[in-house]
Amino acid sequence: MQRLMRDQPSLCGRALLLHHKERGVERVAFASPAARRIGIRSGMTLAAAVALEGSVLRQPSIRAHDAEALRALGESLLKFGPMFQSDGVEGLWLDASAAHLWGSEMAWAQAVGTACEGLQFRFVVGSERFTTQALAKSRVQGAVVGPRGDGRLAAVSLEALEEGWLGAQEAQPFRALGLSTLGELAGLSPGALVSRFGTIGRLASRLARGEDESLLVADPLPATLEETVQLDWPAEQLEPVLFALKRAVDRISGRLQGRQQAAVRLRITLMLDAAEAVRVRLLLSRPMSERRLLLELLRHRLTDLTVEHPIVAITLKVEEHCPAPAHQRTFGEREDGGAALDVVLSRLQSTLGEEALFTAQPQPRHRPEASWSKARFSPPEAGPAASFEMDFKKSKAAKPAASWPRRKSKGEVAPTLDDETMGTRPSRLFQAPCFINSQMDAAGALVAMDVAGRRRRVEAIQGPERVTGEWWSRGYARDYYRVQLEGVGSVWVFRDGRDGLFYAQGVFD
Amino acid sequence: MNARAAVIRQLREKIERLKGEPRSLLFSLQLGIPELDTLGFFRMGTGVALAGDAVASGRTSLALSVVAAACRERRLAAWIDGPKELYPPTAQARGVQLSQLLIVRPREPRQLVWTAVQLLRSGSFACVVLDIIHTGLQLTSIEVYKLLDAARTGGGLLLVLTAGPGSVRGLPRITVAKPRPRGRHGARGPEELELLSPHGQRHTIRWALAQDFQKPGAIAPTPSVPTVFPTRSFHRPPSNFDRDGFSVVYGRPGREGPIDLPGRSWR
Repeated sequence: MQRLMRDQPSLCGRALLLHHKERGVERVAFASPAARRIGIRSGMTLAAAVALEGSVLRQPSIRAHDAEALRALGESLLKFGPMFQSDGVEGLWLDASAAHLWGSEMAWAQAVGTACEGLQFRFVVGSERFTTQALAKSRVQGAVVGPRGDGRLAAVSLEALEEGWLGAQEAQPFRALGLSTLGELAGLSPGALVSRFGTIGRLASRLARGEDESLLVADPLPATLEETVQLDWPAEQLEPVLFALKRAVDRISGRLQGRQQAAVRLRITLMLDAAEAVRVRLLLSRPMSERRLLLELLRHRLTDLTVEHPIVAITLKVEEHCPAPAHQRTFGEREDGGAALDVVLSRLQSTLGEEALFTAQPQPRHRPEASWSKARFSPPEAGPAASFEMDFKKSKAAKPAASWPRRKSKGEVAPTLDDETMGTRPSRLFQAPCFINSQMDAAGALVAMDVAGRRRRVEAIQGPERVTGEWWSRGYARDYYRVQLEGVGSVWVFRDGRDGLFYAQGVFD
Repeated sequence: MNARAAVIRQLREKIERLKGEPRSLLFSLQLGIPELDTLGFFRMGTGVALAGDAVASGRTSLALSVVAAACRERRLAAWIDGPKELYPPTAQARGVQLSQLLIVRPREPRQLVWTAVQLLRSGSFACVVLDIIHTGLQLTSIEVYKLLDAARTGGGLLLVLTAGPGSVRGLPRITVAKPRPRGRHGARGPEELELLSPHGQRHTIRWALAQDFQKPGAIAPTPSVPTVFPTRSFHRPPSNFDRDGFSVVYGRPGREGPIDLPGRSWR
């Protein structure tokens, strides 16, 4: 019921019941507070409920969806404990072995309650599964009990024994004896119960005394992180879509944080009314799981989207995720530090493509156009403790003085050219060397070159710098000159050893 | 116990005070060239066009120095590379930390301005360089207004690299020009930059990146090339080929330094 109210806020405050089929009869599974005020109760037949109030809203109870929502909640609470176990569609056991990190079990429980903000729930911290479940179902709120429930089980109804333990209607024989609470059952002799009721009697006697040795069995985590939200009605505007998207992002973010994972790549599927679904992908600039950031990025991604049909549902799927990187904040660094950067990088990636944004990384290659490569831009950590030393400088410092080249160990970074050499290179390098017609005098001196449709006089020249290599593949051999051309400036030209012609490769702008 | 609690309380208050303090503000980027820094061209939250008539006028070098200044302040910088010609190793040699430099190469020239606006508006980049040389792009007054507004909003510095003054109307412009090498065969000494400020004042800045030119000497004559670089293909020769002692057949692999010219044979 709470899930439905959160997904469809228009149902809040209205008389609503969820019904399911039981032995061929439609019965009320859950009723909203407004419906309960009318007199509708769980277990009542649907016909009787409608007879009480004809205008009551009716929706089928889909246990699979409820169980899925409960598991998502359990995943989001994994940061409070190593595992969880769902109890049908109503309850959740959470491992409290990490409670000492919060100072006390009550503080731990309150932290869990804070994480479940917006939900109505009761919690009990105890040592046995049965004790905690029975007390929570018996409207005990916010209790920390010792072993065997500290005697608080005595007032609990016998119904606590049925679902999940003895079985449906299995406590009826005890009621036939005039018993109504677990305390009355615990007061009977265990031997007498075993002799009269057999195995059920023995189990009931132990549970009534709070003796439960069953272990917590962790629910398996689904391999895919995916959330679907149905819209109240087909949406033609962005606002209701964003509202639904927020709910999906909240769940996905909680599940990611519970698993200590961060999303790398997301996919939104927009289910359209009477049309094929539209899929939108989002590659994040860095792994992240913060709901506010994710929502902001997705909002920007959807803002530019136009669909031809109304949207009826949204599915958000994490296509790729990785362990969440830890981030130690420094003094003065705000909690939202870097959010604007992530937003703008993701927006640019979405619009321009992943390959359009990059940072450069030096490569140990002599061929000028191959002396750097594109790398993913990941801004360095802010703060005074951050080090901005380049890797290549470190490798340069670690360069051995041995005259003979030694075999490089695995993972060792080869040194790149030093700054002095690279400082003599042009600031602009053409995408491909272009042939340049040149004129020489009789002595072999370079006199003029044709640039930009005109013959330019050579005013000065510097060089050559000879670069050869890569004999194992196509090979190259070039003599580079810095040539000062009239009206143009300094141009970086080379003479190719293969054909003896001059090519321009860059300008010293 | 009380003393400990008091210390913890004081520390907590100090931390809160530190959190509440404004971030360190950067008013302008200092290039480390006193003649240029005193002119105050590169103030944060503004935009400047670096124009130059010649192909190699020095605009890019000046912009790289500004980016390096931003990197020295441990700020991020972005280079929107319209012509796709930026050579990052040179940028690194001039003080740019490549890890702090985002390079953006949009496919379409019409995406250049939009990209610059987004980067500037985010406020995450201290310096955004918009290179529109050779792109055929002419900024309209509305686009210039958007760019300046984004720079003012984000507090970053916008540099627009352009070929001529006509493509950036409405933006303060610095015209960069390298004086020709003095003398008949070029000059030895530091290069200079001539800056024409938006107010029409001409400033001559001695450029730190000195490059010595030589007079046009005799390039090795064409017939000598085959002796150095065999015209045959670069396929691996047979094992009985006469090697030169460096395991390759046509010279030592890698890079050799400049060879003095003229009048000196190559081998």
